[in-house]
Amino acid sequence: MNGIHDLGGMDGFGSIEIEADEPVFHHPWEGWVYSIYFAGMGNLVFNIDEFRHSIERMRPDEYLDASYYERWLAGIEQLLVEKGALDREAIEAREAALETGEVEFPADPETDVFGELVAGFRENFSVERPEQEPAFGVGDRVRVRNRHPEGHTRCPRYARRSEGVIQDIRGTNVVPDSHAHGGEAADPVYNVRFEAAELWGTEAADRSAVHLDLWERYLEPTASA
Amino acid sequence: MSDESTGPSRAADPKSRVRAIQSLLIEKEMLSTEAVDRIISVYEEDIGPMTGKRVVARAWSDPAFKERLLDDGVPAMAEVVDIDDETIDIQVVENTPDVHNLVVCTLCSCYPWAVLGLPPTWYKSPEYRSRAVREPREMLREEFDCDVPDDVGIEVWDSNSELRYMVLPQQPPGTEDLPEDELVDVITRDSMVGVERLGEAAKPTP
Repeated sequence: MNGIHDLGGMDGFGSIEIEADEPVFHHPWEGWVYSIYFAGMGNLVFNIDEFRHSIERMRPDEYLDASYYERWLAGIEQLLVEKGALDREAIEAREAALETGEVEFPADPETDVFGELVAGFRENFSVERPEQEPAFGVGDRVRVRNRHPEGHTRCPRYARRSEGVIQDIRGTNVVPDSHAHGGEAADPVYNVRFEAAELWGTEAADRSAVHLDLWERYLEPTASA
Repeated sequence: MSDESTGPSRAADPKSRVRAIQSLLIEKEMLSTEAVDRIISVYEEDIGPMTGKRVVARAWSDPAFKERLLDDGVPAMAEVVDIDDETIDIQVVENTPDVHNLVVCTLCSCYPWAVLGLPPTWYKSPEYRSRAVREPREMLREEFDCDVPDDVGIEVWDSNSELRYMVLPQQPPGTEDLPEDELVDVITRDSMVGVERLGEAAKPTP
């Protein structure tokens, strides 16, 4: 989707705020958000592409207003509800009941879930799939297809219709566009190098280049290839 | 309040909202308070830039190791540090007199957390994500006080797949004889993301 998350090349955000020696989590609740992410991934409720896509579905104005972990919380809650792990009304009721003290925060279950979560997380995070024969080779010049899928994609807008040169073949990975919507399609993945002038216009004379890892379905041969 | 038709929505009070979700997940044995504490402590105490620093110090000290590291990052790292070489895939990109490397994730916040810890807030900000690919040289100079001379090319690595990138900075002159445990003090997290150049390499060529 052409969402607000796809920020590469946008102007106008202004100066970068850099905090010296910042803590890993600024508030305890940010670590708690990390824990429910770990629970969702570790219990195989959702995968990494569904998680990214969930955050991308926030309204653009809310996405920009929210802090990083507020975005995570919104994305995780949405998936826990959509996947049937939790009920929205139950979350709202529990939030109110914990506030009033009507319900106490629960005691631990007997089982040690940490080990299970780590194992589930590792299984879930695995993106490699059986090797496929790559259509392109190192050194080939390729063009990024002008695709604008409604769902999730990891092909940023700024690269579409640009030409670059394949630097490396990364193996065969599950395609995020499919995986975020319950699919298991897999493609060879290529590292592609784009000159700055190709991406940003000829006035970008700077000696710089951008590398992206692109799934085969994002690419087509160039007209001259 | 949000529903499926409107998509995810920002909580009025994130603290009480996440507490409610944790509490329900614990009841379903999908989480435990002990797991919460361990997850937080792993990121606060165990995983951090020291891992990356030790890898860089070894690469500066041992050319054969550096070659293995650039060829296949994680198996080489596992010789030096404790790293999960089953799940994690990292490509190390080397700074040279002619090339400076910079790491970004324009689409979200992908970062080599296994070697650097969780990313700093600026790395995850729209300000950094929007600009790093478009005008890296100006951004480094204006925002990070990091001068990359005009005759040095900049290669920007947009981390859009599950492969993560870490920069191998150039070793500052005068540090060649230092042992690895002193070299780690020369190396910074920012130099392994590419927003800082170490020692002499930071000075523009006259």
